[in-house]
Amino acid sequence: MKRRDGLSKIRDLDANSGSLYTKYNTVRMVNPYRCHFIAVYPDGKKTKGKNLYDTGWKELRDGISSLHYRLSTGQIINIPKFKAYMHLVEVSESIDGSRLFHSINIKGLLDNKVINYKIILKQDNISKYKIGDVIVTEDSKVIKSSYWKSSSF
Amino acid sequence: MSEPILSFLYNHGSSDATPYGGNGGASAPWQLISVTTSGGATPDTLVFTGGGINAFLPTPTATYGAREATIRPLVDALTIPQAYIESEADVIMYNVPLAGKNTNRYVFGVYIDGEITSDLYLEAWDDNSFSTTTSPALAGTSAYPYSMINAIRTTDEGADDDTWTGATYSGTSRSNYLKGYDSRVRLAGDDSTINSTLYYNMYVSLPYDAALFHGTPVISFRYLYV
Repeated sequence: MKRRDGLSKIRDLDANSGSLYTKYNTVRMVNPYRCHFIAVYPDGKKTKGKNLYDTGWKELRDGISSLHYRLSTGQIINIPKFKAYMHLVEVSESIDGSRLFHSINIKGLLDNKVINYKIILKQDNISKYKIGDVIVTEDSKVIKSSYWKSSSF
Repeated sequence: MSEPILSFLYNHGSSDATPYGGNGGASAPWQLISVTTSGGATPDTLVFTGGGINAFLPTPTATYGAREATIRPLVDALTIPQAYIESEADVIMYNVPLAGKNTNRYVFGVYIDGEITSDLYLEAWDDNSFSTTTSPALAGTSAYPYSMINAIRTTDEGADDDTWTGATYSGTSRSNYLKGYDSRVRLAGDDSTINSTLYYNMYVSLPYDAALFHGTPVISFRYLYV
C-alpha cells in the first residue's frame, strides 16, 4: 500500500511547522518529516531516528545510554534515564484522510512502574499545551512488547 | 516502515455474510472510501439521508449531490434511514445498504496495513482540528443531550438486536454516542492489531427538539504506533 501523508490541509508547512485553519479552531503542528529521536550509546555513538512516519525505532539497538528528541521547531527534549524505553506516536486520521500528529509518548521502565513522557506536537486556541511541552504521568500497567529498548543503566 | 496505513471501507452489497477479503484496496462487494491526497483529489463524503417527503433515495446508487431532507419527528428521535458514500471521482452516490440500527456486522471497515500498538478509536469531531465537539450534531439537544451519531464495534459480532443505541451496550463499551475523546468506540477491543480488518456500524438519530442546523462533523480514527 502506498503511504499518504495526510497533510494536504496543512497550510504554510515549512521546516518548522504548519497550520490548520478550521471553523472552530486554528492548529499549529510540527513538521512530521523533521522530528526524530537521538539515541546515544556508552561509546558515544549516536543513532538518529528518521521522522514521524518512519520513526526507525524498531531498528534501534539496545544498550541506550541517553535518549533525546529533536522537534522540527528546534526544541530538544531530554528523557531521563530508565531501565528501558518504548516510543509511540499518537495520531488522528479522519475518514477523508486528513491527519494530525498529537504527541510522541516515551515510556520509561523502572523497577515496578512505567513513567510516560508525552511530548506535545501541536498547539491551538483551546488547549493549554504548546508544542514541545512534556506531560509526565505514571502508567498503571506495563505494556508487553518486543519494542522495548533496554538502556545501559 | 513503522507507520501503519489505514484504508477506510464500506460494504456496497446487501449480504451481511461477506467480510472484507482484500489488503487495502476495493474487493467486491467492499469499496474504498477515497481520501484527500496531496495531488488534490476531493475525498468521498459519508452522507446520512432519507426520512423526508419521498422517504428514500434510489438504491443501489443515487444521483450525485442528491439529498432527501429528513423531516424532524413530532416525538422521540428518528433514525435517519439511509447511508451513502458520495464519490467525487465517480460523480455518484453509493448506498451502504447494511448501515443502520440493525444487527449487521460487515458494514463499515478499516483495514490496517502494518501494526498499531493501541486500540483503534472511532471518534467524531467538529472538524479536522480534532479539538471541539460543539456543533449541533455532536452537542445534542435539551431532550437528547448527547451526540446524534451512534456507533458500535462489530469486529467480533453484530449487535444482539436492532434496538442498540450509542448508550453503553449490553454492559460493554462496544457502542457509544460519538463525541470527541470522551465518548468513542474501541474498534479492536485489544491493545494491538496487525494486518487486519476492524468493523463497525453506525447511524444518525434526529431528535424531535433539534433545531434546523447545518454541520459537517468528521469521523476519525485515533491510534498509536511505534
